[in-house]
Amino acid sequence: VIAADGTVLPADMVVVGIGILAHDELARAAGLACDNGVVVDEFAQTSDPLICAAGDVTNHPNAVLGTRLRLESVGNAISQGQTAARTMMGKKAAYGEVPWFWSDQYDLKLQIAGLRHPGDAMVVRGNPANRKFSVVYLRDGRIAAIDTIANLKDFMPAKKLIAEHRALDPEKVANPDIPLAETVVTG
Amino acid sequence: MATLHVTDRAGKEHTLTADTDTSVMEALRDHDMPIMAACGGCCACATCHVYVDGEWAGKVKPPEADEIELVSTSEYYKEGASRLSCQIQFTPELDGLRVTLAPED
Repeated sequence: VIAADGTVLPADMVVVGIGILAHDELARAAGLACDNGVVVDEFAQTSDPLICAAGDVTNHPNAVLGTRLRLESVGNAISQGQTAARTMMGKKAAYGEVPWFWSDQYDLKLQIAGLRHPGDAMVVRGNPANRKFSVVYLRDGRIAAIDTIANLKDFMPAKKLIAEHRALDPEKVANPDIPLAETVVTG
Repeated sequence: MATLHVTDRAGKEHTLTADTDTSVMEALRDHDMPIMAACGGCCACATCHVYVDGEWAGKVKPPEADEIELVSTSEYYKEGASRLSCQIQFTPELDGLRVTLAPED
């Protein structure tokens, strides 16, 4: 790979991650507020409350994460779509789905819940050599995210614990024989 | 085509006529039954959870290890009845199958 400044980087394989630009032209043309996507509130309403938007294109608040973000995932598109539908039906409920993702990498099922930050503490659960393990990310002692690799049993419990901002005992988390739900710090 | 009997979460019964070259999840989804089936049928999300009625439990092909591992972590797991409907191929032998939609996690 030859970079613009002439730097030569020898590589066997190049993975290109170029991100996504939200297609918000229609919303802009309609005069709706846009900022890294179509800006919506927790009820999927745009700056014109009679117009809803949902999915990858929205810059939305997430009550569980406590922040605004734009998220490219099927789970978000479906759940936020439900939020928009509820709003249109007059049954408003704030959006707060834990982000989640999946991928099949050859014979391995990869499932991810939550969004990790670079500073999170990593706890490996199980032996990676067995090709079946999880990595739990703790932020200030509370579970913020999980990667499960061919370890489906950790996925749904983790998603629930992330939504509840549960503090976990790292020593127990590191023991794959203890169900994740039983690693919660009590008292 | 074959018949699929579905009890929804409100207890209402539906009789569907569905293709037999699809999964039970696809048959439910294509008939607007309220299942999310977010992952599209690759056994990754457990949002197509159903209970197979007792008389049919023995006739449906048993679950693979991955499916058991995932569905058994549902709050609404019922041993012997819980299945991910995306993992059940709706074959002609299952004509008349009865399932109940499990509550959503």
